[in-house]
Amino acid sequence: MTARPHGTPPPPGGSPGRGARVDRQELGEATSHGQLYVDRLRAAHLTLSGVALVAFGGLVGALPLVALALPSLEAQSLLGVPLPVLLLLAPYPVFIVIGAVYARRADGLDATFAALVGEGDPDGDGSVVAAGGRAPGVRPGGLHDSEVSRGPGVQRDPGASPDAPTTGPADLRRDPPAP
Amino acid sequence: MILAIGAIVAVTGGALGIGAWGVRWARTTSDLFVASRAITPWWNAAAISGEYLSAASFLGVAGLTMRSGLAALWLPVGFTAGYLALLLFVAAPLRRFGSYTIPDFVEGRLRSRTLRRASAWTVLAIGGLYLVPQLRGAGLALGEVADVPYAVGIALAAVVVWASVALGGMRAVTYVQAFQFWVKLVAISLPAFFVVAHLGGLPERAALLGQELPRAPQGGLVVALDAPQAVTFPRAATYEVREGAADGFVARRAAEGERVVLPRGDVRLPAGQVVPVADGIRAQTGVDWAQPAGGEGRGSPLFIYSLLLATFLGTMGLPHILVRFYTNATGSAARKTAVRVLGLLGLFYLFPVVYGLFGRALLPELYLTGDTDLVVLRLPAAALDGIVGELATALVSAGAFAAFVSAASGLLVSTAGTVAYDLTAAPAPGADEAVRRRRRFRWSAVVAIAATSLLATAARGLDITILVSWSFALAASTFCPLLLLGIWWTRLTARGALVGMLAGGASASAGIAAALIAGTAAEESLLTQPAVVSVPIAFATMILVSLADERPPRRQVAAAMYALHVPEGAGPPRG
Repeated sequence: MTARPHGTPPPPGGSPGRGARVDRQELGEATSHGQLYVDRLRAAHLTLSGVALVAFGGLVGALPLVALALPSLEAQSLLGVPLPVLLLLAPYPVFIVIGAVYARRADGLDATFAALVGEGDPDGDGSVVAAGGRAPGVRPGGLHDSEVSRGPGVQRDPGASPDAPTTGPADLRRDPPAP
Repeated sequence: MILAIGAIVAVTGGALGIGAWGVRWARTTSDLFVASRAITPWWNAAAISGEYLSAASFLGVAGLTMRSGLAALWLPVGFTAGYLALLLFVAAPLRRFGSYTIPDFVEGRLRSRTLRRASAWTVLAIGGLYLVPQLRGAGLALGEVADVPYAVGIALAAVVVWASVALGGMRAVTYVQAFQFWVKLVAISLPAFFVVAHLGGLPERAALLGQELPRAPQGGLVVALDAPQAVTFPRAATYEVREGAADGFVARRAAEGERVVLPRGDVRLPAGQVVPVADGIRAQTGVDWAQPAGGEGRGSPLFIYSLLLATFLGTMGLPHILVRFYTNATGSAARKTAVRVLGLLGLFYLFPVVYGLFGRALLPELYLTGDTDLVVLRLPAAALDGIVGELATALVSAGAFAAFVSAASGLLVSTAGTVAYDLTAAPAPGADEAVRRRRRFRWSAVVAIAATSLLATAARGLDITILVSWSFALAASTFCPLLLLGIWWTRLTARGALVGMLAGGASASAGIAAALIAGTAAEESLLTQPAVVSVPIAFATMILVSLADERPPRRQVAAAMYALHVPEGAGPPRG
């Protein structure tokens, strides 16, 4: 099968990076159809990143203005720490929360895509799907099963990939990584 | 002092030991250059944070806070935010694309040798600008701790950095960097806890808040000057000087706002006198100093937003950071690594502010000498007595040295790699090709570290932060648009990317060059933070020139987009 188990070295012949790239690029070129799905995946990721960026910009970008609007801030303190110091340390937890939520949702998008194209980690080590796809509460936007199942790409043609277990994608669809 | 030297030697020895231990894995070129990708996100995150937390973070943030006030703390906010930008737009796709470096990415995505060479030169410029202040910081810190001359300190640091890079390669460097991160975190946090616990909160005479200026403490303040020092008295004051080897002190008087050149020798300020400030420092009352935004200079909103923009977008263009994401096994692991980096950096940046606050209270003489960058190294001894103070000083010295060495070695791997692989012809194929490649990498490292050491020796008087600002602004105005548009926009052309990088790099450098020429007059002016202008210029040029060009070949772009965005393990969609 075309998927490589994660964390194992790429096939011999060339450095890992180039090997991986050429390999996957050739796969991409071999299909005329996949382009639509890749475009949709890219758009979904870009939307997700954009939303996270707006959240970040709104929360952190507003802080200098808050500091400007409250000039008497430095007279106050909380538990012995001056408030301006707290204001300037406040962004760090925000970064972590935005980053963690984003990473889970992005992994969810990838897992949905992987399930969709029929080779979403059939060896069951869970490295793609468990990375976030099955996490509770993850609802990747953009790539909806209903929308996708109309496309011809998921019409299974066993002859096209004799290695892929026929039950793999069906399993994923019965027990979807995301609604 | 003996303790401090011992701590530096122990930390350096530990790092070199880990490096030597890692050599066993460095067998092939790809091993040497990019570790074999079996490193977990936690190791990677610690290594990235270790590499990223340089002298600018360990010494510079606290020093700048003490010097210009709490508004300086926007700098670490931006340093950290850069990883969010990396996470959102770059980390996973670039890992999937399988490029080691930006020149690699450029050639794979846009198929242009010219652009590859231009990117390689940009890597050298950014890496060099970032490397010089690291070495300069190492020279200053060794001078402070071990009393060695500036040039000797730089030479020592250069040898250590070269050894840790050339012996190990990337795999070993990952473990070395992770080790250095924990060294730095302990070295900055433990003394801070000691100081806070010992003093039980902020000292009263701090002049931290309220209308006070920093004053000489009870018992007066004596400062030894080894060179004549120009200072300005913010208030009328009486003081005494002892010139050179003269016997007694001579009383003097200064009017409010008077600028005086103090002679070499000792200066004594009676208790309660307002401390004069060196050129380039503004005397600030507690209210002004504690203002996170507002007013002129570093506190002006435009300056803050420009700085946040440069660091937010510039981090992804730092060559030594991107290459480290390649050691993740998958795109998903690259995302996990970036999230952990956000946590580790946030943890570290809780502490420099402690040194800034207490430094203003306990070390007012640094305002007189202008050496506020030394506040982290001097505070433990000023706040703590006896052996605890000595141990804490040893700890921060070791942390500072770890900061120089780790950032510098990461930069050296990138610049030497660029020289060895991008700017020189590939070695002829043959049985010993890998050996020759490795030798070339090591020689490139020698050349790179020697050149930057010479520059650092010459740049002693330069402000450490302006070079760092320059490299961030340059990265944000060249590689950031290249990466963002290259990954997410199908219409980007090689010509558009090249012209856009030139426009962005030129406008950013023009601002900084003007600031350098203007000297202290331009300090904290917008010229030192040109990103707010140069980044839009770069994006606009790249987009407009690309749109004017012919649409790039559809199949080629589709293949690149596939490689960038399709997750590992998901095969090609069949139709």
